[in-house]
Parts: sequence; structure tokens; C-alpha cells
Amino acid sequence: MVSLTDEQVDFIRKEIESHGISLPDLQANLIDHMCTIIENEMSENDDFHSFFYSILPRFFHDNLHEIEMETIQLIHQQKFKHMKKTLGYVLAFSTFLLVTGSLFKILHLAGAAILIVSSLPLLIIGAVLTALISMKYQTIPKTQKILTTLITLIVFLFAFGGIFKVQHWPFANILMILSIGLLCLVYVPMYVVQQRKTSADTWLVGLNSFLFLLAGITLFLLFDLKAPLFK
Amino acid sequence: MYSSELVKGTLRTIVLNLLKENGRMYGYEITQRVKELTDDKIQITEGALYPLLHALEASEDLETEVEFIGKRQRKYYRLTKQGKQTSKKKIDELREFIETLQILLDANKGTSHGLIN
Repeated sequence: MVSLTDEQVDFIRKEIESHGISLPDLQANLIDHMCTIIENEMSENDDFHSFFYSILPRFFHDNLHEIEMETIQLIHQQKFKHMKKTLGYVLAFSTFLLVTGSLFKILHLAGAAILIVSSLPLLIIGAVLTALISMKYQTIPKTQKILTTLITLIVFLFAFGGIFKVQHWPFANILMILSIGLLCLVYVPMYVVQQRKTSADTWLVGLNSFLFLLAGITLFLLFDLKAPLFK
Repeated sequence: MYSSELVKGTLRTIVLNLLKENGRMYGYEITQRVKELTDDKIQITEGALYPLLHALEASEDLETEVEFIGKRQRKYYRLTKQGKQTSKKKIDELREFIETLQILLDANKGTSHGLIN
């Protein structure tokens, strides 16, 4: 068994770095792995550099950097799972607050406004963060990213419109009408076109589109159109 | 040697089980132990092993100890408390999967006998 000199270890480190491995932990693992292979498999008569280049292809298909890409992707998946779970709790809690607040409002109980107003920022933060981390950590097509951004914007506008409405602040109506308009006139057509290309279940796509439109039209009909838009 | 596609789905369980049996191990040791135990039929590639080890460390299923060998570091991996539970779950799941697969393969054998007879 040969023993590697410090210079040879440094050479391996530089080669690994030059092949695009920048994560320190991964670098350390690969250096140790390559050194151990050389120490165990290289004979006294072999040339160190030739032997090193002969074992290098064992570590990849196309280039060494793919190990780092794969590592980052797997770590991101883990983070994504954790974050999605936490955001799920935030969204469930804000929905609970919103539903309870709405019930209080219908029953004319005290505290309805505070429940609704506190639920909406949580809902917005939850929706925006879910969309952002989905786009960052998941490999999704560009059209899907546009749709996710659009629905986040719609939720954002609608929720803010809701807060403004409850607080009797100006621009509540325009915010809500704008969000409903975007949902019915932009999001649903884009959703249908995109899903028809990618989804095999056309029945489900049709049902979802119908429900989106129904929700939008129902909300639109609830508006007093005679009321000034910018109030 | 089995195809990498067959090994890929079971790699996590193989690594977790090895660490359960051996306490702490480092990357090269894991690849060699798998080769040795399977008579070279299963070979874990470095390109698949290290991303997995780092992901298991990020999910807190594994913890590491670093030892210095001259100028270089050697990272030893061992199961955490959570990792032991994950390992048990994964091993049970794989055993069940193998049993189910066996049933499926035997059932096909039975059907083909039926057709021949």
C-alpha cells in the first residue's frame, strides 16, 4: 500500500476544485475517497498522475461537477419538504382563523374583524412563501412557474382587498375586482391551455376550471357594482 | 452486476442498514463493504453515494465525525436517533416490497403453468 505525500493530496484538492466541486464537505469526502482508492489500488511502480486520471472517470458520467449538482438537488428536496410542511401548518391555521372569523361575522359575535384581519396576512405570507419555495426548489416548467406566480398575485390582491374592505379603507373594491378579473379572464384560460398540454385527465382540468370560474363569478356577483370602484 | 436502475431505488436502505450494522463508516468503506457482501453484484457508485450521504446528513438521519489523516479529512457517518427509526422503517418497507414482488413473480409463474397445462 502506497502512502500519499501532502503535495499529492494538494494536487487532488486542486483537481477537484478545478472540476467544479465547491462544497467544502463534498470536497473533503472526494479527496479522502480518491486518496484511499490510490493508496489501496495503486502499485509502487505506477505513476501517481496517470493513476489519478485513470480513476477519475469512476466518479461521474459526464463531469465531476454533476456530483455537486446532485448533492445540492437532494439537499434542496429535504429543505423543500420541511418548509412545505411548516407552511402547510401556517396555511391551515390562517384558514381556521378566516373560517372562524367569518362564522363570528355571520353570527354577529365580537372579535370577527380581528380574526379575519389577522388571518389574511398569514394567508398571504403562506401563499407567497409556498409559491416562492416551490419555484426555487422544484424543477417545474416555465409555464407552470408563470401560473404559480399569477395565482399568488391573485391571492395576494384578493386577500389585501379583503383586509381593506373589512377596515373600510379605500381601493378595496378595485383590488378585489382586479383579482377576480385576473382569475377569470387570465388565469383560467392559461390554466386550461397549460393543463391540456400536460395533464391526461381532461375531466379534472375541466372541473377545476369550472370551479375557478364559478368562484370568480360568484364573488363578482356579490359586489355592489354601483359602488365607486376606488372607494 | 445488477443495473444501476435496480440499485438506485434501494440505495438509501442499503446505506442506512449498513450503518445500522456497522456503527460508523466512511464513504470508501461503504462502497467496499457493499461489493464484498454482494460478491461485486452490487456496486455503489461514488456519484450516487455522496449526494445521498449529504442529503441524509441534512435531514438529520446521519451525523458525522471528522478525523484527520495527515492533511486530509475523513468523515465518518453514523445513524442518529431519528436515523435509526428511518432505517427500521425503510428496511421493513423494503422487506415487504420484496415479499410482494415475490408473490407477483410466483403468481405469474402459476399463470404460465396454467396456460401450458
